[in-house]
Amino acid sequence: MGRKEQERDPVLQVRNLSKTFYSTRALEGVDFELLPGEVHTLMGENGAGKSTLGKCITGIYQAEEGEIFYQGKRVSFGNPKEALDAGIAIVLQEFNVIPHLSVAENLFLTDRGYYRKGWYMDAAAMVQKTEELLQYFHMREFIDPMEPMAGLSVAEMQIVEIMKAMSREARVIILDEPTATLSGKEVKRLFEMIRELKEKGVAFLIVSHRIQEIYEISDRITVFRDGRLVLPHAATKDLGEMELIKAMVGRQIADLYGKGNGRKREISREVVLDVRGICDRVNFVQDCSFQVHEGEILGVAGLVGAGRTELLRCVFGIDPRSSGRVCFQGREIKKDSIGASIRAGMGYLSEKRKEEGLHQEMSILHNLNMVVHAVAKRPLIEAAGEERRCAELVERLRIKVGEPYNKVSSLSGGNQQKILLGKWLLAHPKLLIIDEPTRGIDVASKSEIYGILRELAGNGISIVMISSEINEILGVTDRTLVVRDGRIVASLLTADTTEEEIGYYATMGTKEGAER
Amino acid sequence: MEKEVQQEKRQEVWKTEYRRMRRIWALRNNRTELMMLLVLLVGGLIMSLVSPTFLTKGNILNICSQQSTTALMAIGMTLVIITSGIDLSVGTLLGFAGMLAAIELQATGNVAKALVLAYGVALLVGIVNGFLIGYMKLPAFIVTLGTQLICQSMNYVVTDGSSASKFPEAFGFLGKGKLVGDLPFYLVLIILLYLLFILVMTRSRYGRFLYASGSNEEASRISGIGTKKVIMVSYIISALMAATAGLVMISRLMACDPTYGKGAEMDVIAAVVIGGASMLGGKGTLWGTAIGVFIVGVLRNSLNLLGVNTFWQGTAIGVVIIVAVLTEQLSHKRKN
Repeated sequence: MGRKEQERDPVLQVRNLSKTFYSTRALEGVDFELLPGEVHTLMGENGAGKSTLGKCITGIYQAEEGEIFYQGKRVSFGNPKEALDAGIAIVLQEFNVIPHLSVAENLFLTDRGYYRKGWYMDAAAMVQKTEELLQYFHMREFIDPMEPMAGLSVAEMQIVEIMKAMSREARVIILDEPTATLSGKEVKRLFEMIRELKEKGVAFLIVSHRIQEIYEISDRITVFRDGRLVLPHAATKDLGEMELIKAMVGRQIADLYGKGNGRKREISREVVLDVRGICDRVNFVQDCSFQVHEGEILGVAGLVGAGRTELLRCVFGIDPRSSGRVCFQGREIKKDSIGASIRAGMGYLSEKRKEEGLHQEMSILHNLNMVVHAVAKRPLIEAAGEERRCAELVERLRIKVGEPYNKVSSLSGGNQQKILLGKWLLAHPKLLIIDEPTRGIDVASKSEIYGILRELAGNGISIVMISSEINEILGVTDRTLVVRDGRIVASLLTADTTEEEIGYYATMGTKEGAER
Repeated sequence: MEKEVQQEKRQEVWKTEYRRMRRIWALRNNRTELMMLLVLLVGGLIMSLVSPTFLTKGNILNICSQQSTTALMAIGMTLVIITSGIDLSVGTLLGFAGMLAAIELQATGNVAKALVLAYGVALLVGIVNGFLIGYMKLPAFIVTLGTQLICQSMNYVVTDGSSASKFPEAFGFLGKGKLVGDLPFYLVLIILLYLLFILVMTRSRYGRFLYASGSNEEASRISGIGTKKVIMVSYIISALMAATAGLVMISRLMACDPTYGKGAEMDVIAAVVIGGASMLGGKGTLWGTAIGVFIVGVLRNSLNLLGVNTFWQGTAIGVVIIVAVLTEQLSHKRKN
């Protein structure tokens, strides 16, 4: 393998690339190469420069210095479409789809080959080609070529985006956190696709946070820290997991999940939240009952799309419920409104930080004070009070904020998550519902967030945590609920359960398997 | 004891530090407004050099009087635009509310009843707009276009196309009364309303919720803000401001014609946009809007003083709007 690699010429080469945002160096003199038919993973903490590299290569950003060579020729793309035409595709975390157009139209919208005489759209050919692609990826049973894009799940959109890259016969495909929103099965399918294409000589550049997956799929790993390569082009098979984490954070993280992994904590018998038989209006969440005790961390596991988020949105009152009761600290929350839930002492952190969590265009300080004001009664706002709360919280959660009046969008994912947590903590909740607490967050912030969650639980705050990362569930929670098809199928003591058991309940067939 | 002292010291540090940062932030966030203020000052300076009449008391009061209805409606429009909505009904509502009051004044001379009628119909229109847009999630453009047409048509239905006049003398105080010397009463009223709403928007929970709902409605809702109510209230305020403008207008003219207010909403929207508010929501200030109102007024007035054909006024204002939005966009691009 090693010898063979040396004989191949790199399909993509980057020399001395630098890029600056404001005054921060996002990339500093980066030298990088990608071989044909290899899967190369970029790793690093948030803001280390991984995504920036991909965006500079495909012309989304223009680098200030440095050169990019593609198939031996020097290139400089003005936008991603030029890059795609040349054979370099990028699939970003935020998809580039047009929701009201069909899957087929989305795939071939900018492909001149599907326009007769350059302007008349050849719909039949588009649909036919889409059919072929879907067949090829074994996705035909899930996706219809004529279906509007808006009807697809996030995972399906992701797959369509990758199909788009492939339909243009790209030689290099850059994937920015492709598995962040996928469930285990979908990840497997994606990896099969990648392996097939790899055999045909397509090179993949993948940005990822998930260490296990990286070991499964990638040939080589490059680690970024503060815009520089700290571990360039390392062969995956020669690299230990701890070595990798050390390279990323620049220090040793002894145990990501903190002390007490697999521990059995004494949990108070006091029931804080009691949910009895709730169903949502569309009858997806069906007859769910569970209890949360004081100071308990309750994990909610299951596949993506199993109804975990829907269940807890229903409990919190974001989506209306059609039946069932929610009791908080012994008192029933009759009205299923968000306001009533917050006033009772609940908080909800959405998995979609941008859309449902923080006001990206508003300042850090205003975001932190949002919930406080929402539950307050006084009509006026005191600037001094807002600033005092902000200062206290920044100190308490060790948030790295330059200036509290900066926009939230200027912060990294990890710090944004802390702001989101902080804005709820300022309202002094008794229970927090957290959906994917560490999605898209670097390793060091993850470990800090776990620490904060455990500290909160120690202070008697109950936490309900939805997570797709099974290790997170096993490492952090006291008890685990498994959700499948909108129902709670199992309630397990985390200390006594295993990854396999949770996986079994989460995936077990819907018909005969139900009897256990 | 020492710990307490230390903590106090630290608190002092962050207090001064935060105050400094708040000032910088205010300057940075209101770039468009500051630029428009500069445009207004430079424009005013040039005009005062070119035309000797421009800076006279009479001319300034003339500008204020011409822009008074726009200024009033612009308050409500700013709130509505910050929620990422728009209110096209204010122009014809001004006419309709004014007409209802005028009919009452002509018939009975009962000022109180006239006010109740004008504000009553405004409240109704505001609630209908707000309910359909905030609660039913209908597009603001369509809903207010509908209420705009309804108000205009009802105006004709009620009056049968004829105008009203002969109001009791006392009613004229609102539009023509002077407080001290030459200071008109309506001007004081407008200034007070602006101060009140600046307070509401910067210091009140409602103001904060308004910006929050406009910049991300779903995140606001999940944070426990009653976004529907916030949005509805903005349309109610907008309608009430339109009624106030209508009353000021008929009081000044001591007559009312069914065509009053037609198309006035466009001037209002122009002033708000020139004043730095974003149609995407979440951004805009009331003092910026005040500058926008003045720019439109000074522009019209200057063209008049310079003897330019009035047909050119629309072109001039149109160019200013586009330039204002363009500079905003360019400054945004440079930042990213």
